[in-house]
Amino acid sequence: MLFNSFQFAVFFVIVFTLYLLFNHKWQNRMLFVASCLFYGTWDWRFLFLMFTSISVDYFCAIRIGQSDDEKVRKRFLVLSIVVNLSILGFFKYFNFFTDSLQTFIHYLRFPFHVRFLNIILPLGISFYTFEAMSYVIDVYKRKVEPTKHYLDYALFVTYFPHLIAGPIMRAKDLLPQIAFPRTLSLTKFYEGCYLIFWGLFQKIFVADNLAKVVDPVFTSGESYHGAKIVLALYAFAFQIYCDFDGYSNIARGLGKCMGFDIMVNFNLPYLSTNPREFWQRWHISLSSWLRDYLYIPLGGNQRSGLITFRNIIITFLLGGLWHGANWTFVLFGAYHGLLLILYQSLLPLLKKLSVPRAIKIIFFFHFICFGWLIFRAQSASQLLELLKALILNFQFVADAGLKQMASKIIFFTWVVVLVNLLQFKRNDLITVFRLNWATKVIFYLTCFYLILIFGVSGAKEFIYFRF
Amino acid sequence: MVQKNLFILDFKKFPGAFLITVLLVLLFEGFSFLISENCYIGQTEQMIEQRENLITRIKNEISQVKENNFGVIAFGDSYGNCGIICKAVKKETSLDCFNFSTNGRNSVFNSFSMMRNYLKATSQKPKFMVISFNLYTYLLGKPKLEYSYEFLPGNFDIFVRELGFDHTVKCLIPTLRAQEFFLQIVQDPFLLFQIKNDKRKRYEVLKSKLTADLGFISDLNEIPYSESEDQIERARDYQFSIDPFAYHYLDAMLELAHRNEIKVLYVMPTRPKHIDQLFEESEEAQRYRDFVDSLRKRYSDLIILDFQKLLEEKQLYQDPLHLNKKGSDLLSTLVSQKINELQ
Repeated sequence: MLFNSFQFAVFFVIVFTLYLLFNHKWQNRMLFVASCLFYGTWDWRFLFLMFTSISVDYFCAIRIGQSDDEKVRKRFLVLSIVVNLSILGFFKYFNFFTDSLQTFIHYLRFPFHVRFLNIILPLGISFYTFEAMSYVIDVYKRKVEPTKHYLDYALFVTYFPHLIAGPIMRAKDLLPQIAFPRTLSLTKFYEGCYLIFWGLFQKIFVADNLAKVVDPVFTSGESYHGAKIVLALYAFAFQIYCDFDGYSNIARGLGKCMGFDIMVNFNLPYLSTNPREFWQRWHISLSSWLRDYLYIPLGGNQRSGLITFRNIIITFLLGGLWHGANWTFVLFGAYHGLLLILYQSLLPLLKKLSVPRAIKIIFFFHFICFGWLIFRAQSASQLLELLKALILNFQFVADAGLKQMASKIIFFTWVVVLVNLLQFKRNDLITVFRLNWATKVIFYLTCFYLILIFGVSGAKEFIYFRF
Repeated sequence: MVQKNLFILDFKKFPGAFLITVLLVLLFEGFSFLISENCYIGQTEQMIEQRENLITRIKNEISQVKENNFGVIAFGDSYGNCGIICKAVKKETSLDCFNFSTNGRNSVFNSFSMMRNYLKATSQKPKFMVISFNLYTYLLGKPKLEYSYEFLPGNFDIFVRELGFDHTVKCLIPTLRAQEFFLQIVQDPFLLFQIKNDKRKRYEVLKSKLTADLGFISDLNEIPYSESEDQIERARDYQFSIDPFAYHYLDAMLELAHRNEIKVLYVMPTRPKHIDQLFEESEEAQRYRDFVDSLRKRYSDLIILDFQKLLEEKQLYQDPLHLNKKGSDLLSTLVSQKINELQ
């Protein structure tokens, strides 16, 4: 069941009606059942897998909380992490590692064949595993009290707005909202409706239409055309942003309607001027997770420069791998890691330069786009072909096809660009919601009819569902 | 327990912009609905049957009448629409007959839908079914399906199956139904002076005409023969191939007929002699014969009728693809003779 489908609209209307009728205790029970139904419509078998993870983490957290013996506490922490990573490793990375092993064995010319398994990737596994791990680690670090109520913890993991593609919520933020009665207010409800509407616009009008511009360039068997790749990269930058930010906005909006506060996951990432700022604005819940549970435990930037760089590289490599079982994602992580290291190294020099922010944004946007090239390539060999076309064989012929592609990109992105600039200027992510009524009416009507007339019908999956 | 604080109406926070937007959308949608139901642009009157699928819509409505009791039902595209005169068939065979053929847009899919609706609505099974599609019709695939959006009543389920629920619902939105109309006005504002608002009346007139003529519009094919360079070129160069979507529904029709013990007469499309010569010289002819052979093998009880030699005079056609009044009289007689043989 996708957020951008009629089935989900019907589902949410029913859930919300029941939510209004029930008291806090029954609201939680109903939300838990609804979340299981929501997940089960995709594949009910994986509910068992999710509950294995939930039960192990719930049990481990309780034992960690109960014990003062550091050895016992560590034992349960390790148990929880091993179970979570084993599930994630098996379902997400087994074939990737066996395939890489097979390639390596083949390279050494050993007559040995590795066995592959036909594994289905459970939806949202990377998101809920990270969320569960953060809970147990926080309990271990005594940042969070373990919850005694199984249902509260299960709802923390399964709560349907953020179950499939995040944001990866922290227990300290979400668990209290589950444990205590939530306050519903009209202001929150309207804000929620606005976020859902804006998220749907980003997904149905922008992302799904841009996918039609991007996909042919990356999937055609024909030789690659340098200028077309550049345009496709611009389009993909907005496609992936609007796809994921759209999902996050809908998730936040759904949460707000029910009185939940779900964290902001994107904060105008393309208006960043450097890699550090970019990762503070892009997929905030993942980058802050990696910072708190990987980068800082590795030592962060508290030791020598080389150790810091090592920590950055490890964090980004694993962050890249988190996205999917493909070498292109590892390269994507490595690229961003190196970019950050380069930025850190040149920082004293860069500080001396006085370049207008707009120039910095445009300049850095191209570095982000290059990262998307690595991310979007279907394989390392395709990446190589694309790079060849882009660097060694770049041709610019402003033919009709290219002009059409450019005009499509402008048409599908102008609203998002304008809104982003306004959000940036006013430093307010829901600035549109605060405009005067006449401007809002024009905005709502424009977005509504753009969705209606040009929106891609037939709910298309969100890109981050694959991760 | 209702969360009361949600329902405290705080007028300072009243979502005026949301409500005004909803109101404006409702007004515009209402206006679009009135436009799409009542208006058309006079200059494009000829296109009304094509674009708005009035004929398809009416025939679909007739296919769902419980009291239907036809001995012969005909399905097809514009070739069948201009070719099978049911009054003539009734006269020759004394079997009640109705021609459900439509225009070329997704006529295989439309034919299947109407056939299914017909058999669902009535317990009186027809004895014979005549199918006649032009070669070009087999090329039409799923992407063209949304042009048949007027064809929704009674077919919602197969539309959902083919297009998905979201898209099917989208086909019902007034703005999108009137999109073509608005687009023409935007491109040429002077067309505003040619708007006619008697579409409903046209619909009623057309419906009574179709009911009286048993699905055949007599004034459609009283046109003298004419041909364009383009049509000749098409006959020479056309590559015959079958879209899997069209084939799937042809197959479904034949299967349905077989299950209901309806004898199927498959009429191969005919053309004027000089066009047929061009056609025979092309590879298309052999491909089409292979296709018909494959149908023959698959459905042994299928009766395939090839009247090309009897219908090759230019005087029998209005254009290279469609028979005129004289031609359709002759084709209907030939089909009736075959039905009589089988009775």
